[in-house]
Amino acid sequence: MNKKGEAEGGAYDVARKSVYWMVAGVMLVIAILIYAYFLSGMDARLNYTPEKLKAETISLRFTNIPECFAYQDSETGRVYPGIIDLSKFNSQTMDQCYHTGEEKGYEEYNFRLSLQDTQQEVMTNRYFHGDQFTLFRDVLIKKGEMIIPDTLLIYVQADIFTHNTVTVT
Amino acid sequence: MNKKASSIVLAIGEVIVLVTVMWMVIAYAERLANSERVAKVSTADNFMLMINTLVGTPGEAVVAYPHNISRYNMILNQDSISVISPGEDKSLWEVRKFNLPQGYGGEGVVQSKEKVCLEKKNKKILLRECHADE
Repeated sequence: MNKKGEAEGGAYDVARKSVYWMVAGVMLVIAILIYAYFLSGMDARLNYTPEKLKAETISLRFTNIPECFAYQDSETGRVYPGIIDLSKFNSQTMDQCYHTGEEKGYEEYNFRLSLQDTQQEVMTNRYFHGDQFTLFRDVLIKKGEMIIPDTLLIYVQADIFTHNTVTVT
Repeated sequence: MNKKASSIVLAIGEVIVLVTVMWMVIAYAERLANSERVAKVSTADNFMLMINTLVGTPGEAVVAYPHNISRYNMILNQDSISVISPGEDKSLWEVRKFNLPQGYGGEGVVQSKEKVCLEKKNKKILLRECHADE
């Protein structure tokens, strides 16, 4: 090849590389963006605790401790977890058992407890019917001297604005 | 610049760019994998779950946290638990709020203890270092 041909070949090589780098650059940026997108939520995914688990642990108290609805024998002081004392199944007891903040309580878990067969309901102070899910628990009801089986439905309302379950107009 | 020289410069440029990108990607992934924050957030969440479970347990109970958490300090009070890396600013504390039934209380401070226990005793949730037999 003569000198002119060599010079043209060199210029062609540089131009070819430039085009290659333009295409490779765009692809590299796309690859990095995809990678960043997948890793961006990594922290949150690694630390994710299921909402149902959180609600389940909070709601244990409703049926298990005498400060909530669990039946306690007044003579022996023995507590019967899983037996709901119907005489305590009211808003006053609920307020003593679980009470969220007056201002920002809607950001916390709130509950509506419903006894399926007995058809009684009680709810926490910042419950606005923004249910996300429901927990079911088989319980016994202490009604006077009777003890009858029932199902406790626990309607759970997490942060209503985060979950868009209540629309503010 | 002749053809050979420009070709070498471009090749070196390519290698530098690729090595830089690979280093950035690996460093980011490694930082996430070893993230101190992930461990701290998970510790705070676990303690919140344990406290709610203890509250919902009739009678008295003790539960030991099954991991070494000596790199943290912790503060439990009436309505929250905080997980703190020593010396860090308050804005970086991992704080979890909870609601205790009326008449219940929560208290306790642990500083860089390997084994930490939560105890429910007389309507009080206590955060303390575990005893030898716990």
